[in-house]
Amino acid sequence: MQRESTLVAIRERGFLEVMDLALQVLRHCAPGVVAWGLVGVVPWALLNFFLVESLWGEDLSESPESWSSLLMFQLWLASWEMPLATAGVTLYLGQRMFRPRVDHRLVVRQWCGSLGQLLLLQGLGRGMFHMFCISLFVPYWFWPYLNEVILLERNRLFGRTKESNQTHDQAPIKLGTLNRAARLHSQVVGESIFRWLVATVVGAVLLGSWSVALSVLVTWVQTKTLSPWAWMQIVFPTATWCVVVFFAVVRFLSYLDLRIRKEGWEIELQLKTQAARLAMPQV
Amino acid sequence: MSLDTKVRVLTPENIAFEYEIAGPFQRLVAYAIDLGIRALSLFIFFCLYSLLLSAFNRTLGSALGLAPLFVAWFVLEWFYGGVFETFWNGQTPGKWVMGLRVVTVQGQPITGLQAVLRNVLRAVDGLPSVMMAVPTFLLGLVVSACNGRFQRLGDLATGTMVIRETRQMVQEVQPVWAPGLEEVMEHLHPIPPLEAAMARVIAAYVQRREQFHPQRRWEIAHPLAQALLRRWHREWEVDPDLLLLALYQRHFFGTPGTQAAETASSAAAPSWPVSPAGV
Repeated sequence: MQRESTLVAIRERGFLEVMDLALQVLRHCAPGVVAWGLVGVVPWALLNFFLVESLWGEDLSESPESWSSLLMFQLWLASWEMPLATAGVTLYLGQRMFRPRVDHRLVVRQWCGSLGQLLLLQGLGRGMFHMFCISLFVPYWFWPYLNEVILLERNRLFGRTKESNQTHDQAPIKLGTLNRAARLHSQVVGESIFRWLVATVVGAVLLGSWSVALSVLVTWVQTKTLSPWAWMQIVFPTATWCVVVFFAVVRFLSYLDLRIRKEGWEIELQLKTQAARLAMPQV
Repeated sequence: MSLDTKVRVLTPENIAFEYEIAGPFQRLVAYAIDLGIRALSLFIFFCLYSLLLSAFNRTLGSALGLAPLFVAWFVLEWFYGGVFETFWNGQTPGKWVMGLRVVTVQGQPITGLQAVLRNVLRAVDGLPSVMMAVPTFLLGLVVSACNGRFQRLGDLATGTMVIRETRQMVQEVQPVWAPGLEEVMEHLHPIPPLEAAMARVIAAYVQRREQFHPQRRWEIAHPLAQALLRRWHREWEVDPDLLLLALYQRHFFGTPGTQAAETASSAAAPSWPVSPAGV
């Protein structure tokens, strides 16, 4: 890993700065993020479309209360599906971070390789958590970067943390996904909650802004008012998934920021640069 | 070149300044604070105006009616930002709280015209808006995401950008101690002193190492320790973390037990600014 060859400059950042940087990353990697975003999102969006469509035919569409419950249902579904839908974007960015060209077949292979843990931990585990939580995104208080640990670290589910018998010249024993996630998230609980709060508020603002902006734009183009069905089934889900993909980029960068601070990446890169300089033949 | 939220501005004297650019999300918080202040000001004006009317036995439905309230709203809406940024050198109260400032793209202070114009053009950045009243800022977000300085249309039209004022921290070099450090330092005697760049990097590691798990310290320190040992042609099984600690201690404080205590307490201990980039 060379200091100059990473997609984003390795340094510590605040969360708002991370979100600003996500815009630059989106601009720079728009084709890849959009393509992998579509690959991940479209199946789930279609599933949600048919689920809501099956409810739409009943009396639910009659009153505003039923609209709000349909909206909440869509948000609840999207927040559950989010880790699986954005896995491709995370893997793409994981490669793009250190390489100028991305091997898309490798992204597919890595996605398939991580599918078991994704389904077990994010689908089933977080899904159970999801079922019993009052608020939509509360499960993301807990181990918010688990998706990144599963997809980018690609460890076995369980590892060993035995530290004895390690000599000075021996590499440490590899950790499992659960150990690594526990270690990464330890001592940053307060910060995770703060970042979750900021992300929820900004996400809600973006969702409101984008869904209203899309409605206004579609109304301008069509020169007639949007039907409630079109708003519920097309405009709102489109805005929701755009926000979800944007926050996948934010979460990836936030994960990098946490690694930089917690594991001293910045320092490691500086030390490696000095080591590489020493390794060059003396003139 | 890696992506970052920093831009470099070159002055005519060929001096480069690095600015940290504030993007839409940092500015959103400042905007929310300003919006709150404007709403509060309007509320206070409404209360005072109501008191004034009641003193003269008038109601809001009488002669002047709501007109002064609309005038107050109009002035706040269109001139709050412009006036503050003109007289507070590119800052509004919200920007001041967030440590943001509007400057020209050459890094110069903005003029009154630039301040007013960029605030008036916010209405365009707010498009598409609902019934021309509730802005969604989609256009502003897309435009600022499309350029490296996060300039919205108002900034592009007036040649301005919003920067974040960063405070540089000066961190003092502190002596360190660890079990076995003296022994390692004794072995360093024939080794030449460190170059300034190398010493700075090692000092950055030493100042952060307490935050890392011992395994992680090993991972970080190992490549440089191995490279140093190869350069010195030394076969030495030493803890890489301890080796870097010893080099740091020797470079900044000499040998332990001699200069260390004196230098640690001295106010003249060597120090350097540590930028957020750590460079």
